[in-house]
Amino acid sequence: MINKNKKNNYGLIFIVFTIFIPFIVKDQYQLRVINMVLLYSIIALSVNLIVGFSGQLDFGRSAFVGLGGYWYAIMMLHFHLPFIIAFISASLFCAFVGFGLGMVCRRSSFDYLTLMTVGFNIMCMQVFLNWIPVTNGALGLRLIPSATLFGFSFDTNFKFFYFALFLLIICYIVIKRITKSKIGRAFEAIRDDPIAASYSGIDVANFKVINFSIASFFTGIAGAAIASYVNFISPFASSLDESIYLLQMAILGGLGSLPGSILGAVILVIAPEISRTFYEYRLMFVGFLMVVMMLWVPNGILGKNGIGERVIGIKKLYSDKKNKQKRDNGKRTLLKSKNVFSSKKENNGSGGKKK
Amino acid sequence: MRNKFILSLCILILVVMFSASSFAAEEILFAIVSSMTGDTAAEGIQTQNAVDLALSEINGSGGVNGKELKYIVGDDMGNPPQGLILAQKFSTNDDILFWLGPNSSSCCIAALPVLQKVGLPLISPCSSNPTMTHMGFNNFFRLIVNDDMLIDQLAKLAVIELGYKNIALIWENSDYGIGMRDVALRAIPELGGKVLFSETFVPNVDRDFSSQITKFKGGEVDCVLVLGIYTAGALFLKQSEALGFNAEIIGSSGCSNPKLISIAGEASEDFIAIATFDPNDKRPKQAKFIEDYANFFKGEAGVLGVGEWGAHAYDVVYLVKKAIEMGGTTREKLIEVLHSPDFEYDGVTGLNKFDEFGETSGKRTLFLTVKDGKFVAFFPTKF
Amino acid sequence: MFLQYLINGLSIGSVYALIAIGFNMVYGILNLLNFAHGDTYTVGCFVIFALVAMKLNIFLAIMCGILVGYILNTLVERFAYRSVRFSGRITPTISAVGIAYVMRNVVLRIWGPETYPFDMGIRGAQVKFGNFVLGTLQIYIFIIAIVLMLLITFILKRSKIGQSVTAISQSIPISALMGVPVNRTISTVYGVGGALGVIGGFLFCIYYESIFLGIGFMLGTMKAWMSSIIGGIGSLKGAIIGALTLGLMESFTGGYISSQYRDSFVWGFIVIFILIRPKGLFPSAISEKV
Repeated sequence: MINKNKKNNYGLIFIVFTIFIPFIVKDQYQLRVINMVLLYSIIALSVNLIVGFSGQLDFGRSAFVGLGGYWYAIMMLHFHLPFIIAFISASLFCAFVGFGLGMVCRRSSFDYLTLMTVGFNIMCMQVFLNWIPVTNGALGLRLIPSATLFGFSFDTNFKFFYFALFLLIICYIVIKRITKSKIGRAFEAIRDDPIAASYSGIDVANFKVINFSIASFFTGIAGAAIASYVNFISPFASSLDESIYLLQMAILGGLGSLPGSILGAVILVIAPEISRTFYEYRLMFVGFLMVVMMLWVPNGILGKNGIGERVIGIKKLYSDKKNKQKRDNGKRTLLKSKNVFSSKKENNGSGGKKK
Repeated sequence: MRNKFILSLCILILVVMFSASSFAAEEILFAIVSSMTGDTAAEGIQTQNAVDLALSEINGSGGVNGKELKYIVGDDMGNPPQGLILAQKFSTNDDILFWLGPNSSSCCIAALPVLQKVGLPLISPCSSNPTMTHMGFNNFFRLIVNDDMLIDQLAKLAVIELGYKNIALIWENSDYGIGMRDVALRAIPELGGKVLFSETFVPNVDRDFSSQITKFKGGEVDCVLVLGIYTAGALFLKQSEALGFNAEIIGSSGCSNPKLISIAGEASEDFIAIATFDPNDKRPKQAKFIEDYANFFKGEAGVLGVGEWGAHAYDVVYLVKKAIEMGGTTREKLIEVLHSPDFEYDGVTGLNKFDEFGETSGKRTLFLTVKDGKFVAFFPTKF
Repeated sequence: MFLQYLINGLSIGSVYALIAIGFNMVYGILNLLNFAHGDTYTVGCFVIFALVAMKLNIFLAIMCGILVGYILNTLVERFAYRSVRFSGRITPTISAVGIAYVMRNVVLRIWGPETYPFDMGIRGAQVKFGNFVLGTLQIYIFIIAIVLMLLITFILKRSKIGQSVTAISQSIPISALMGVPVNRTISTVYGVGGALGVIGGFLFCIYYESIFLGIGFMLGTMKAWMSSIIGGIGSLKGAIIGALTLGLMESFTGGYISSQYRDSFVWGFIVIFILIRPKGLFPSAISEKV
């Protein structure tokens, strides 16, 4: 019980803290980077939903970002729909396309699914590049209107920060509820052992489709938000390299850990802005990171048995050892059974951190 | 939860890590943004090299109004979203006077709205998409003759000068190629020719033109316009020869790079390309520039002869120097001076004058043909 | 023109087939997508290119390139795959993607993204049948692809190492218990796959007389995948048939339908194909999880 309250406390402190960021950070460029971090966190969360929680390898996320962005841009530019309708319909459109992709791949094996997502990504980029009457081809769509709610326009970095933060919080809460629900447990079962899952009564194929739809919904939200913020969309943002980069955000932070995705987005969006070397070599770094992490820390920084937990685990182990020595000094002569009890209690207390 | 705490700590640290840049007031700062890495890295590197040459000459002889010219580099990788990020980054830096802009038209378009908001002029050496000057950006200038005029000339060469009527187009699927295709589709019928086929390919990826060549062969085409970069042009030439396709092949300015000859080998004989700069120009100003460039980078690995990118970038620097000396010391004044009808600069690429849209006027184009493995210039006689 | 499109399609298909054979061999054994396949042979081909530029004898250069391909692929296996062999599907695949990107960027740094002329002094003659042109080089490539496939199938069925490979593809722990040198065999298979890839890539460059970075992923790995989707992953016969089908599809779609939307149409056909026959034309006997 006490653990749960602590969790909520930390969560609240975090949110309160981030609300003050636009007041602290005055440089418009830095504020802009932070806004992009918030939006990319949403994408990383959706990637995590597919890869981390369901164990499907999806190399097509950037196509969905593009789809959400283009739908929003076309609705706003050509049809002049109000913002809310364009925005929500963009996410629904992405969910629908995700549904379609899932339906095509529902009975495919792991590898076929991966290949199909790659193909889907390439195909989407081709459509964006070639369907000139609608997407304006390689030149992209400009002057996309910013987000406006009831006449209030989120067109400065400062105002947009709160919009993005609001989106991130909502998406985070919803995804967290999903992962803790029956659907989430089904996803994890499919990830861990699809055959056993199907024997337990989970229709693996259908859940794959649900998975794709839900995750694509969130990717669509982020895609439309990015288009409304940057006021420009280009087909080159939906390339395969971008998908790999998005994938790495989720992996770095830890597959299966939601705060981890946010951390991964923070690191991989800010690093190229800080270091020019990182910017130039970013794909090489990302590749290198992937190999190294898969070999030694497959669960990322904040995942189960990830770097974060190992550091905390080592610390705890050290402090427990110290405490045990202190306590045992006076009790060395007692019976073994007492030690058995005390060691059991210690195991329960210092077991792996649960989310 | 502890993870969230670590998270917020990380954010705080990263936010604090940003550092501001500073520079001395005795310098004039500008930004070079081009594709320094990626598929079109050769353009960016040549651009930067030419600017280095110009700067060494200018700063070595007293600078501009006594101040030194300096630049910072942005690499957009030829990728418009990156170009936009760079625009955001540089637009908060008030010390930058102008942008020596991207050659990729889509990267320019991505960056221009942001730059217009802060009044930063973007002067592009070689961005040639015709629609750019009509998008309402008063801060955009370009030195190169735009594709409208270039492809118009190319069409005239095919139909009027060489007398071909059955023409096929092969264009690269990018903003460059599509812009050129649209001009060609309009211009050729106006001159009395017929466009029989209009085929495309993916730039930098597609190697195989056999299906397009087969189609052209079957349709009695006597002239093909290759609207793309030299790589594709070279492969097209080779495969045409291999498949026994004997039509006249002429190319856009992207094919005027000598590398085309080295890739295509003997198949490139008699190939004609339109060009905005002759790498073997014998006129005094141009010859001196070509020689200075070669000497400046003598011995540096990978630096080949200078071409249109370097020549235009070199002119941008000198042109801006003249504009600053004529009073363009702030961003707004610079834009004003460049727009004024009396402003002109005669550089290695010809006479540079801007109209009210930022379009250049007063330049001549020339044609290069391959004779004995080298590009030789010639001028049309019938138009 | 139909016949010319047919010939073009078959010839480009044979080039794809060479690359797909190496890829499918590895997949058939270990059931892992080798993302780095294209990039290993890119390195091999660039090594050949560099050696020939340094005036080394061409056959020696080819041998060196093949050796480099072999060694590189075994290294990839050793470092990116071996440790994560039993950690599920995601980890090794991501590992492979990582290595592929590293290799690609290293080649990018050294040689740049440009196209270089690849002149090895090997030229095919052109044979004309009336209006149709067929290069002898195309015939050689086609024949080499078929020969290689037959050779590998033969080795897999008859030789001792072939049997070890088949055993490993069924179950690694039990093969180890039976005394099959598992690690060594797997390294050999990967190495041979890499060497085949280099041969394929080399012929690819000879065919187009140019070499550039993109022969790895876009034209190699992607096409190998697409052929595998059609032909069935893991089956050598499927690799060839799938590759030829892919070549034909590209040629006909580009010629008759549209060169602009060629890739979209080809992918569209592949999607339809997957819906009808999810496991490809010649599904491998390995049981898949869902």
